[in-house]
Amino acid sequence: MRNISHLKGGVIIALLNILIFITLGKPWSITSGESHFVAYIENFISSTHVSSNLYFQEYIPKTTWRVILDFGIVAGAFLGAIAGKDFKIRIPQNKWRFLQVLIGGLFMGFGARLAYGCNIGHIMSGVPQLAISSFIALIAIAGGAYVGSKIIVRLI
Amino acid sequence: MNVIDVRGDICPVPLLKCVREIKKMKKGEMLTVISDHPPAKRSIPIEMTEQGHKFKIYENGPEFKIEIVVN
Repeated sequence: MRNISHLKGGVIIALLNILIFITLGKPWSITSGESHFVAYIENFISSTHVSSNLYFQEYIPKTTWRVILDFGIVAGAFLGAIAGKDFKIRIPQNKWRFLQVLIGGLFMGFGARLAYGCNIGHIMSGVPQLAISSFIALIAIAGGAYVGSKIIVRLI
Repeated sequence: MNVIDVRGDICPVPLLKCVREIKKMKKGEMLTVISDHPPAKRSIPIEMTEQGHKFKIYENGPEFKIEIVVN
C-alpha cells in the first residue's frame, strides 16, 4: 500500500470540501444523507410513518446528492483498495466484535442525530465556519473518543 | 514463540493487542503479528520504533507479518 502524508491528505480533503461547498452550496456531511437514505427505504414500507416523523417534516429527505456522496465515499474507498491491491474480505475472528460494532454504530448514529452532525459535519464543515456548536461538538467528540479508548482496551 | 493473529480486526485493535503482548514479554523474545489491516502496517512500526524494539515486515498480498524483537 502506498501512503500519502497526513498533510497531503488533509490538503486534498480541504480542497474537495471547498469543491463541494462551491458546487452544491452546502458543506460536506455524512449522517444527514444516511438518515435520508433510511427515509427512502422506509418510504417503501411505510410512507405514512416517514411523513408523520417530525424530524423528516423539518429535514425533508429530498436532497439526493447527500446520499449519492455517501455512496461515492464507499465506492471511492473500494476503488482505492482495489488500486492499492489492499482489497480483501475481512472477518473478525472474535465474534463478539460484531456485537461491539453494532452497539458502537448505534451510538454513533444516535449521537450524530442528537448533535445535528457527525465528526465530518461538525469538524470538517462546522468548525471552518466558526460555528460555536461545532466547537462544542469537537470538544465532546474528543472527550468521547478518550473515554472510548479507555473502554476498548478492556473489550479486546 | 509468541504469535498474535489479528486478521479481520481493524485499528486500533492490532496495535493495542501488540502493545499488550509486548508488555508481558522479556528482552530478546520475539513476537509475530499477523494482520490484514493496512493502517496497522504503519501504526505498529511507529509505536515499536518509539518503544525501541527491532522489527521486520513481511508482506504477502493484502496480508502482512511483523516480527518484533523485544528490547
